[in-house]
Amino acid sequence: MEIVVKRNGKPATRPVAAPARTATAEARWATPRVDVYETPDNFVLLADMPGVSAENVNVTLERNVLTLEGEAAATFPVTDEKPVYMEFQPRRYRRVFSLTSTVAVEDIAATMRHGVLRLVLPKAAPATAQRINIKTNEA
Amino acid sequence: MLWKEFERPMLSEFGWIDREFDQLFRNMWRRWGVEQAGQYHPAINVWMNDDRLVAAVELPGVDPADIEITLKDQTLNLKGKRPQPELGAPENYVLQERTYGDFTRTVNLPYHVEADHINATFDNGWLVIELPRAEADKPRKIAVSAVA
Repeated sequence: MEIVVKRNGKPATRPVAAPARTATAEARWATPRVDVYETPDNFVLLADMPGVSAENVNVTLERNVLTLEGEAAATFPVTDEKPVYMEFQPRRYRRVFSLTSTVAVEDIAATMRHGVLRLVLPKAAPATAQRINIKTNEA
Repeated sequence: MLWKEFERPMLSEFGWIDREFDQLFRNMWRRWGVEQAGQYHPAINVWMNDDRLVAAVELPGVDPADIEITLKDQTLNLKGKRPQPELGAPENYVLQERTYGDFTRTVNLPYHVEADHINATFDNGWLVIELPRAEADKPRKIAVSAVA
């Protein structure tokens, strides 16, 4: 019995890796693919983290350092089936960005849907020049 | 530039090298006409034993309604579309790494499966397809009777 997995109609060959479902603990950090686009009011960040649920994603902001972390759950419904063709593993994702002061850090909103982390980073109101009154002691 | 990424994955992780190579090869396949532009092939895992097959596919950001799974004989076909978010006129990309467009994957199964009992679930960007082997296709033990 032979299984043939095709890519573009041509058989793809790839060695069978270790069973993916047990590899989570030792899984290496992976860099998620990220899109960032700018709207008039926000920056929107989209990060692909397949297998990661909302409970398993961590977004932290320390000073101006934004860290995205997520861990994919090992939820494949596999019991004694043998891995015959493996292209991916459940991974731990991590990516770090530094933000400039143009982002209103206290209003960042994060949602997770279908394995994609979405961050909305509102732009901070431009700093307005403040006039300083000059006091004089002159009579 | 608003975005500064100061922590690059360490060289041992090959994360960014992977991505560069992905892009390089994708461009190459396209130029040689091996891969059609706008078509990509999501990563797939397959497990099996004598009774059933399990396939898992990485499809982050894909709407389950946009995934089409078809079975013809012993060929499992998977296709769908991952739409790119439509940006308005004043909006523009600062960073763009994710893949969009039509995707397709084909698996030639090693045995017949029960088409009516294929179970597909979509969870957090992972599509899992469970395919039980057809009863008629399972190996049967044939009793050997000795002739006296």
